[in-house]
Amino acid sequence: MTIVAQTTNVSKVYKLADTEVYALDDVNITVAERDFLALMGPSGSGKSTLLHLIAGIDRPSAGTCSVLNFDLGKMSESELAKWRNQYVGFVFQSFNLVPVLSAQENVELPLLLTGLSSSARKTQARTALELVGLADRMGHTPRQLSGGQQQRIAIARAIATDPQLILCDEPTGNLDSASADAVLEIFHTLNNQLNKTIIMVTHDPHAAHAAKEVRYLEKGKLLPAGEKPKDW
Amino acid sequence: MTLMTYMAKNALRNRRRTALTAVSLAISLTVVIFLKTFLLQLTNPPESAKPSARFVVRHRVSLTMGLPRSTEEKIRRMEGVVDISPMQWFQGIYIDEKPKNWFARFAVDPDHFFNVYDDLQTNDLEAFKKTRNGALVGRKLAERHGFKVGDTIVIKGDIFDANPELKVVGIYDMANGAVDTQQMTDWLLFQIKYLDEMLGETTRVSSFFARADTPQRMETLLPAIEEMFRNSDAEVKAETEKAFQMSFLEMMGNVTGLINTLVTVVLFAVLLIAASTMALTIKERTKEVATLKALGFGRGHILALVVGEGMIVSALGGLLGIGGSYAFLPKPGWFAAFALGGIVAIGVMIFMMIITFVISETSQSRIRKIAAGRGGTIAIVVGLTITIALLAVMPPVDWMTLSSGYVPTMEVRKPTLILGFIITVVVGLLSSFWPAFQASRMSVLDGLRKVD
Ligand SMILES: Nc1ncnc2c1ncn2[C@@H]1O[C@H](COP(=O)(O)OP(=O)(O)OP(=O)(O)O)[C@@H](O)[C@H]1O
Ligand SMILES: [Mg+2]
Repeated sequence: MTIVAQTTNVSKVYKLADTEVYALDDVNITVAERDFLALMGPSGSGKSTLLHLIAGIDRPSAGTCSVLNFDLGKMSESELAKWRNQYVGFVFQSFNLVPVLSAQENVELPLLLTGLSSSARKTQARTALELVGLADRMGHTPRQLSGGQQQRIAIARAIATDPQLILCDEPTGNLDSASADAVLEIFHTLNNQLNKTIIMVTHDPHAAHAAKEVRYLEKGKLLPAGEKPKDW
Repeated sequence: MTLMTYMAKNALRNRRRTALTAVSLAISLTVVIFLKTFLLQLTNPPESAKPSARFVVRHRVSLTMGLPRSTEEKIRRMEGVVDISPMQWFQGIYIDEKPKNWFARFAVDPDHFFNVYDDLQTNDLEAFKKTRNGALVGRKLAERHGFKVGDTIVIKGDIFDANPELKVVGIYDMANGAVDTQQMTDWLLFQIKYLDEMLGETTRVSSFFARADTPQRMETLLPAIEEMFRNSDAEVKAETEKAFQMSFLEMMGNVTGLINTLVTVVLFAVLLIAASTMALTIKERTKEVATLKALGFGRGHILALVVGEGMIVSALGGLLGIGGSYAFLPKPGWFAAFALGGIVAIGVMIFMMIITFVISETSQSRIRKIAAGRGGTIAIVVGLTITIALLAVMPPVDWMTLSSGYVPTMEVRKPTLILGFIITVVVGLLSSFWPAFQASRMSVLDGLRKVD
């Protein structure tokens, strides 16, 4: 089993006026290659925080994160940026597409940082758009697309550089169930046919059902596999 | 797509805002280029190779007061004076007031003029001396109008009550090796005796032009001349030709200093406008910047993106301001049309901003929607229309006429263009650097958490 992401005794503490908030409390999790993991739990349980640590856009207060054999704690901000561009795709709840760029241009964005030629970038963006079934909408701007389509463009953008790991924070949170299904279907393909490892934070049991494994967080603690919060 | 395309699209996101910044910069640049060109023409006409020993004698108080003609002989007798000639600006109208029919006309003394202007030469001096109403035309002027020996040129007097009917008796040209730095071959010369005759008196003249034997001589000669006429009823001012041209500035009092202060203020204001606009623009894009960082854009990329965007906006302004000045400055009418168009465009933009600000966003007002969405485009179209309309009706005056011959052209010169370019780059950099720096250091998490 090849390990893609592993956290060791990871905690994240926010010090407020007189209290300490444990967003994450001693979390140990291992995600293997070709896993499709859903992270669930009540609001404020630390799901996003954990995802951000694995993405290298946040740093733990204690413990270590090793992702794709990189010890994130030892990397500088600019190294992390480069690393994310190459190895990690990120999908947001609110799509976060650039409104003035066409679908194709949005997908090309992360490719601008690679050494690819302009025509190679175009081809790769096109391939990604075909994968999410929107090759015919290449020239449309986000405003001309439905929410579901926008999220599929965002997924195309996340996979444009062909990263091994895909991280999503409530990717279906803003979508109706039909659009959500389309998005989950794409994740299924990415995981099954293209061997991508996926970690998905979600509130939606239906979305979680699409994953191979579900783990729960409660008050910053990762519950043992198979266990759920009491009143879930 | 390239990073450049992305920057350009970013720059055009909020058209009104970009237009406001660009047109503000364009207007500032136009003001600066206008003033710099003006000062350069007055204080530093294209340098001739040889230092001139030519000087000017005029009334101590003002050019308009005029000097008695007896002045001439007294100065001619002084040691170190090669020769002196009256040089009376006649002005007048040839055919009509169209700029192409405008050229400088001077009444001079043919026996002395070419000794003073040793950088001019003619083979027709004898004919000029002999012909009472003879005229010598400069080579450039002759070519411009096709004047030939034997032609009659009638000038209708305006400041003088006389309408000379002149007969072209010859052409003059630059002497070997001399450079025409003052459009001297675009003049027409006629005899001052003829002017006297028409006026029925020996007229006072506004200036005498003279030449010393060496440029160094003027250091002692000029004060001596002034001293000689002290306490007479016509005290004189004697100054080098160059100083004479510069004294035009003094006539405007301390306007130069005031203008320079104004220029600084204008540039500072435009920098503030550009910088605050950019700061606002980037602040609105916090979440997008955070997204870019999550996708792998580093600090350097973000810095480059934002500064690049600022540079594009200021390049638009620079292109408009420098290009417009370069194209429109040579004619006062064109220039006024261009400047007014710009000022009106700014006015419209500010008006649109006020509308957007005053009418509440929730009111769904159509006017507000137009002002917010199309304000910049409307302002630019209105400005352009005004410029084009004014171009058609502007009177055909030129700078030479407006300045009574002392600012022959307002051709924008290279150093001024370079200055404009530097201002453009500096405004682009300074206005965007701080927002760019802040964006580049912003935390991804804070940016992503921002709700839009
Ligand atoms: N900058 C911060 N300062 C203080 N506390 C914070 C900060 N960021 C997060 N927290 C706290 O950390 C905890 C975990 O937050 P996190 O966003 O990971 O929750 P979540 O599980 O993603 O919740 P949700 O489902 O609502 O998105 C919360 O209690 C939150 O209040
Ligand atoms: Mg969350």
